[in-house]
Amino acid sequence: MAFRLAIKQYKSLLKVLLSSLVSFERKDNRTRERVSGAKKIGKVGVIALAGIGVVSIFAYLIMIAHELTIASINSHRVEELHYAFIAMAQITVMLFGMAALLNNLYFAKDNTMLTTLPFQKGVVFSAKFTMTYLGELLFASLVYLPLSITSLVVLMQYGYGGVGAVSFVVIVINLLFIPALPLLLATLISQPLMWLVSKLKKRSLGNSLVMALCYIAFFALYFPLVIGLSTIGESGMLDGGMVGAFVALKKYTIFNYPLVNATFSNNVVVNLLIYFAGVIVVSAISVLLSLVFYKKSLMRIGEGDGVGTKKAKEAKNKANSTIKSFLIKDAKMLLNTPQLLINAIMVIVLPSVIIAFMSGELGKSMLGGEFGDTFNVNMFMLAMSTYLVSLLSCAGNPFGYIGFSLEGKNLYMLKSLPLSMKDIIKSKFTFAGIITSISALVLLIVFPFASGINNAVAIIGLPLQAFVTGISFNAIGLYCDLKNPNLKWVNINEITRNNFRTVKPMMLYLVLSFVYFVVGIALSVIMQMLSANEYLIISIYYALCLSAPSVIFALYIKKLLGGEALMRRIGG
Amino acid sequence: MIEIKNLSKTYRSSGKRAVDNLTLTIDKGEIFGFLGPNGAGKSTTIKCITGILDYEEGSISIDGIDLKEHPVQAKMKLGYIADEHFLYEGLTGRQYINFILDIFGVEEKVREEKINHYAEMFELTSHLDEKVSSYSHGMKQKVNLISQLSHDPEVFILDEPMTGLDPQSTFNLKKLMQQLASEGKVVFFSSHILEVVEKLCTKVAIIDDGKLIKVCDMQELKESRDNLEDLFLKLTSEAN
Repeated sequence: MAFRLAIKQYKSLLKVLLSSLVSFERKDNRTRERVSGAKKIGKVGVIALAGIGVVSIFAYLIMIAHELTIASINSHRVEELHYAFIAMAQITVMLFGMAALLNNLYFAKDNTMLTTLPFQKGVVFSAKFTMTYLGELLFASLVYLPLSITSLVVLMQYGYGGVGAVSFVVIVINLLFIPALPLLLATLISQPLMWLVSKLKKRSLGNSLVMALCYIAFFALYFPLVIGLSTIGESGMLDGGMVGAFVALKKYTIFNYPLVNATFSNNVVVNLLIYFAGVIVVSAISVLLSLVFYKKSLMRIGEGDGVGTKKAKEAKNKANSTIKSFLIKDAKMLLNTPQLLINAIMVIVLPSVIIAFMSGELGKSMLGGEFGDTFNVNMFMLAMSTYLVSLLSCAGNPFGYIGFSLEGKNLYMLKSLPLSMKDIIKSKFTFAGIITSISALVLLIVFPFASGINNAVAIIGLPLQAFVTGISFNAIGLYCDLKNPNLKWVNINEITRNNFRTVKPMMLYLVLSFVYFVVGIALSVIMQMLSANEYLIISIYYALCLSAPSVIFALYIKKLLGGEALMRRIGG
Repeated sequence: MIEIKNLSKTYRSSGKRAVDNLTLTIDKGEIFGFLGPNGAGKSTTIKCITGILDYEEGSISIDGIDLKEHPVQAKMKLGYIADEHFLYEGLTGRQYINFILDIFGVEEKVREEKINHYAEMFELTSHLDEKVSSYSHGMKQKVNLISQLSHDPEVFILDEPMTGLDPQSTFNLKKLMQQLASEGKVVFFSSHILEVVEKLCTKVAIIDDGKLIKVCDMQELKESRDNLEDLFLKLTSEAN
């Protein structure tokens, strides 16, 4: 009886969570009428740019899979390659799923309401886990399907044994299983951690730090893998280091054996059933763990940091200027909101970490091989660094594209305060700019040491590029957000999910970053062919790279700071 | 019906003892007012009764069921209207109500009649199929009330329930509270509007700084020709 009720409750809650997730606000007629012809062209342009961005990423993945498959056939490491594909998809799920899972489980606004309802044990946890699982299937498919399908097509062309039509069906089934273990692992790690954090006094900061640490750990796993998989020896064989990495990867992800085995048509049903059984066992452990930890953590987190702390009692009433007050408020929000703190840490720390890694491992392998005959290694490294740094300075700084939406319904309260709308807008832009500036400053200090590049133009150029790209993105991002902020959200993830306008600038900068990469690669070839002066080429490179964001900044900062009318329009 | 014994709740982070050794018994058929100044511990107590907050000392039982030992069974008896309500904005009012009724396992045949009845009462029938995101504060409060009343709770807990309601709906809610009490159910509510409490309640508890100061029978209060406002101000100023 209790089990039947639990199943019924689970279905109802999952249905509601999913309906809430996919619900889009319909624009009223007035909004529709305002969309003029020019804006329609602009929309088409943005969608086209986004399309180019997505297609170029898929093309890149397909190219990697094609090359790696041929190299792995020559090196007799085909199975290991498929272990790597599954591992890549699983790490991607972990990377994105960790934040989504913790947001849904611990920080969603509906948690308090749900704790008052008579749910059977484990129902809320299971429903929220399932919701995250379904979302992560999308991320897994974006990585796993292009890699695996391409690889299977190449293997069929080469007549590789065990690969046939069934293999394509199997990879679709594999895909359904792929998010299971990473997400379950995330729950197994996060539940005791969050339980411990819930016992701390500075709970909000503790939550933020746990999430940030988990996130950074997974990033540290992810990048070596992605970059490692992109390097193939010039002879069309996997070089020694790569083979070692593949073998090690297989060893550490041996639990994926049934999936790989099924892909090559070996006892398909049995293998998939074995994996499914494994997933059920780990799920059961996770749900059992939730019975011990989850509800207790949720209740304690629901208490907040409490009132009347010793520090608060001692605090003096200090007056600040309007902008400064806003900046302090946003800084507090940043420190006490795990999702935001993670992003800020990523923006500030990750560019330097990636550059250090690339210079260490990738750089050494490039210098040692025949690579240097075609490309100028320093220029190649700069192109890759510029690409990744530009991406991170944009997508990683939520204050730069959802600064207004983050306020939620508080934005109405802010509008009611006796201050100019311009001050609110300025404060938002300034705060986003502070995060961008800190990131650029860290890069300026760390880059020469991390990269080993001592070219003065590069040392100044890359941080400057990161700064200009970042603030221009903040200008256009905040302008788009101001035009249509999403103030009705349950957790922060939903802000962008239900508001395509905020995603547009990201798409634009995705393409722009890719262009930086392509231009950099082209220049590295030219540099090597013509033995051109390094200072000159790098100067040209950064002059080109800085031009587009500078133009965007000039156009949008004016629009943003003059957006008082848009601010007044919020809320009808 | 609600039995609170030696309840204490201390916030771990601040060390503040928000509820201190509170003991209360609320019987069937009572409309019980829960009063206190801001920060007195009213909301913390209500959050403990409704399972939002854990408590380290004491016990709470709903209709004889211990909340800590059997939380699901205890909550099945509860209907709760929070002061800051949360509703899924992407759903329609009807979808939200049905969600709550699913959780309480209300049969389809029963829910149809209940939803229609309460939607009529709160004049929300024509808006039930609109998105919650388009609702005003008062309309959200009405959806909350309909969802919590439709599963026919034995104990109805309301935190500042009149906030945002129009006069007709406020009148209907007051009538409804009296009707529920006459059916032998418990209505436990907190409010700062002493006139409403005075008119509606059969008993009132006054709490300050986490401690229970007084429980008074409204009939006795009326007979003694005192009024609730004077009593409240006197007791809370004495306590301070």
